[in-house]
Amino acid sequence: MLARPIVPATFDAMLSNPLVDFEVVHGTDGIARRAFSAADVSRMLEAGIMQEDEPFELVEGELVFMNAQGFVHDRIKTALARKLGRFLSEDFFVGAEISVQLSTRSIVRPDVVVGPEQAATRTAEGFLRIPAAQILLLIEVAATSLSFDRGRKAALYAREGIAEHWMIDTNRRVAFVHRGAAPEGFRQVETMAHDDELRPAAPELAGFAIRLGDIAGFDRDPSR
Amino acid sequence: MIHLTQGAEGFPRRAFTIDEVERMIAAGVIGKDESFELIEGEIVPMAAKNHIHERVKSALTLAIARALPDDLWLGVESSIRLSRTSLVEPDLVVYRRDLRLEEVKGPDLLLAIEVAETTLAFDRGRKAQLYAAYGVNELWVVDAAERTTWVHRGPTALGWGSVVVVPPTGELRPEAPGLYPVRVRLADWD
Repeated sequence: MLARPIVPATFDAMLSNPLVDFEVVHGTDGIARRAFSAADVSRMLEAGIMQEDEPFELVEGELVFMNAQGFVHDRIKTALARKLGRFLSEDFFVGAEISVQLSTRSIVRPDVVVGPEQAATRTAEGFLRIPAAQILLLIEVAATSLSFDRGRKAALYAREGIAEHWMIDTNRRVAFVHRGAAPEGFRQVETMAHDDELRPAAPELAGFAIRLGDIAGFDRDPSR
Repeated sequence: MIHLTQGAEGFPRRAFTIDEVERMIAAGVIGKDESFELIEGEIVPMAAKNHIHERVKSALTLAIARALPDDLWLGVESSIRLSRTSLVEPDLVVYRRDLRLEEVKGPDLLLAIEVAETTLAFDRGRKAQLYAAYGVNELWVVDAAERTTWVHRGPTALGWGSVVVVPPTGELRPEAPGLYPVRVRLADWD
């Protein structure tokens, strides 16, 4: 990752810092911006305008910056992916931070995504696609990007029809379990404490359970 | 068909440089006929111009062109590179005739004029701030419908030193000495 989350304080700082490979802005809030498609992103990667490892997701046409991830985030993501991978047969895949194209205007990189192996295909734009309806579980782990993940991105996942979405908040050490996807949002959001057992609803995942508190690195207050 | 979005409002987004945008055009990501400005790295499509916008712009063009000294140049919808990540297209700009457009920077602009129809809030807000930060000497934002003009002077990194509202019947006079002969009353133009 080119993970240097530098948000320039001034224009001058932005211009004078030769180390910045890309810049992040929210300067045009309030006005309509040009939306990018997955095909645009594909062409930008091909032309070398964007690099593969830039930490951005395409969320309904906008390239949104992904926050740098800390130790706790990595531990949780890895533990969840490993435990799910061990539980499932080879007919299923467990992707950890892989780019998934959800629509012509959205390419997301969820921390963990679980689906049937045969559901994964390549899109015309060259990205991995798993039809949203076939995704069994999609997990995001977040601290600083929480408001975006819980708001805008959860809305996107609901609209796309992803059956179950866990949003794990590393600051509050809770999981928000979203179910009942509908165009206007998830119908059901349940807050699970770190010692509650998380159990996916998909029949394919029946019998799988995990407690956030059992994950090393998450068993204590991350601020210490 | 160009899609627009405000979806990620409030969240940091990828900024592009003018150079990257030029490569996007070369790579076919952005169509050659797309009309846009690059505002701090974000591609903002330009609104189609309607009759009242064009009328006000023409009035200003004629008034300035008639009084323009020989050593100055009046640019209409010129692309101005304010920085590596901002490329704007003001309706009118005045700068020294001996400058090449590609070299023109904010402080070279003696006067920039934005005629706003649907974009008044943005032109008076964020965009005016951008012109100030890059040292444009004087900015007029004209409300095409009401013909009211906001005259901005004294650019600083934080904004404009003064903003004076001139009604349609008021006389607009640029501050730059070379533009002394220019006088416009928008109420006088049909």
